[in-house]
Amino acid sequence: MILVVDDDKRTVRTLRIWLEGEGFKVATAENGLKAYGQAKDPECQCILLDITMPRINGVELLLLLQEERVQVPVIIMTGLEDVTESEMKEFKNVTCLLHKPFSIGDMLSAIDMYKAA
Amino acid sequence: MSRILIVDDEKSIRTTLREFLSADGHETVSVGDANEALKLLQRAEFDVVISDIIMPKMSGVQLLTRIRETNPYVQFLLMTGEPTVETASEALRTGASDYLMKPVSKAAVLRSVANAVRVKAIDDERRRLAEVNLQYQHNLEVLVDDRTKELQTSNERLQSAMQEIKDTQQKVIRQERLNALGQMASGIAHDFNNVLMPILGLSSFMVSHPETLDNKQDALASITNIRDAATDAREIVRRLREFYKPGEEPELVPNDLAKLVHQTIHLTEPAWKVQTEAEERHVQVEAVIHDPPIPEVQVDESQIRETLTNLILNAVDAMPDGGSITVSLRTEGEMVLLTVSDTGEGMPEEVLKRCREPFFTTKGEHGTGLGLAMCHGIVQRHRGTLKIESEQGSGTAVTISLPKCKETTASAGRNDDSLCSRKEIKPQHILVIDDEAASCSLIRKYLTSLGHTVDCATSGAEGIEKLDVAQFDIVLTDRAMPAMGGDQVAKAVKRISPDTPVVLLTGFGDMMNYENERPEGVSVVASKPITCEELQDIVSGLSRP
Repeated sequence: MILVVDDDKRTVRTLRIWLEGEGFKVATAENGLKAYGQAKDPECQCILLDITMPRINGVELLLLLQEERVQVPVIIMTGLEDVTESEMKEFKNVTCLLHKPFSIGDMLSAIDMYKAA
Repeated sequence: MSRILIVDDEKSIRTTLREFLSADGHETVSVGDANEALKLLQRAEFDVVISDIIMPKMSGVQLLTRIRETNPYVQFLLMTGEPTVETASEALRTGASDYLMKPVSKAAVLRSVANAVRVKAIDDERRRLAEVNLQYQHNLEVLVDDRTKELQTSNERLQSAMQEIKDTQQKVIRQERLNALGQMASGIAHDFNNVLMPILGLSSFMVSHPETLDNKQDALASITNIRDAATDAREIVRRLREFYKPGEEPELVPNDLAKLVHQTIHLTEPAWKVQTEAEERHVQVEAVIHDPPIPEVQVDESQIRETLTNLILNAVDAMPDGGSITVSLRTEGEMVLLTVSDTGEGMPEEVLKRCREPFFTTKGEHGTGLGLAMCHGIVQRHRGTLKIESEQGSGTAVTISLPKCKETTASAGRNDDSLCSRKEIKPQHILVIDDEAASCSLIRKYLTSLGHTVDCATSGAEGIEKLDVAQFDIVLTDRAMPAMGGDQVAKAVKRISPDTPVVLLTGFGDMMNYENERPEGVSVVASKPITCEELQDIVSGLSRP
């Protein structure tokens, strides 16, 4: 199962269509707080995580996961221009950074990357 | 005491006169002929000259004439032993003060001299006063000149100082705008990237998985998502454009403020909702319209929206623990009152006093200190007033009073809700020029759905060719086209068919071109992307009945 966390409902819908089209099971959450419980679900293979969100944002969720040693791989996706992959990779869980708007191909290669790792 | 010069060739008379006059307290000098008298007069000053008329060499009358050439002020008495009417009248004509007959009596001489002395004294005094007056006038002129020069210099100094202040102010404002723009740009990029996500993601998915289009409901949901995201994108560009708009004179159009209030509340929501929710403070914005309908008010919609946005965002900032904001409208006499009140912290007196000053801010780096100052300027340009009431601990209320429209005509339906379904207009024959075929066909779709007939051209040259052979009611042209741009098309249209209105469509790239100039021959400048409603609005505004 792949967990999509983004407050933008349309992005969530887009990713759900993409992922389901590829045969993935998809769970969604609109902020870090709601994602927190689901992230710890052993079924969860990977998280596609937005940074800017209300309540608990992406970075805060990453810190929480790190603290609790939850090992799930995270693909960060952001509309912010000045976020770099190296700074995001300082979080253990982060495997890849996607700048919005990204394509289905970008997403799939990011998923392949965590699988390979 | 006066100085008297006696001129007579008879010594006895000279002596007699000197005696008479000395006894009366005058200083006297006597000479035997006129030439000697002239010489003496050049060297010394006399008040009165008493001269015989008949003398050898030069007569008294001649002497008087000569004296007058250089000395107009000395008093002159003439004496003669052979009085005739001629000599008397000649003497007086030449300027003698009196005329004495020989033998002269002491009394007559003394009286005559006394008179002459008095006249001389008065004359001297008059001249002295005139001189003083002249001097005074001169001094005054000098003084006035000096003061004028001084004033001019200080005026020039003041003016150059003013200019300097203005320049600096402009510079600072530009800088502030740029800083704010920089801050805004990253926010805009973020928003843009977000809206592009579903637009690109869903459309490319549908293209690569055409079978998904068979499920009509899903496909429609995706297309709706794409459209909504694109609408948001357009709104983002609008916001940026609003920001670029220079501080120009407001374009006053009758407006329904109630509608503007609702719109603005809706528009500002995304700007504060995320933030306040992230901080878990509950903020609520509510519109209250007292005694509707509120009469229309002449306003520049975008400027009032900017003002209201500023006030709402200020109110949000003023409530760190959450609270509610009320935007209310009511009529009071000839004014419409728009109040934004919050239940926030309120302002201390010091802040209240200074909050309208440009660059005064309590928000540190996050504020430009221009918000309220800009609001104040906008309201003033609308001939309105802005009042701020605040109480620490209980909140702030900002009230804008704007004069309501004089005539409440129903014609001002520009912002009517019934925009799309309003009265039919005569079908127009419209020429659409756009090098982008997709754009062309979209506009054609819109226009034909509104009942107009459309001819398309994909270049400026092709458009002009069509215009040469057919008559069009309106020409709609893209601005940015290769070879012949929209500006040139407009000029050409004016040459071929001067009465045909030209609508210029400008895109994203022209956004920075904020001078708001309307190129020659262009009736309306509209921005891309354009909606069906906007097109209809423009066409109905231009169409001939």
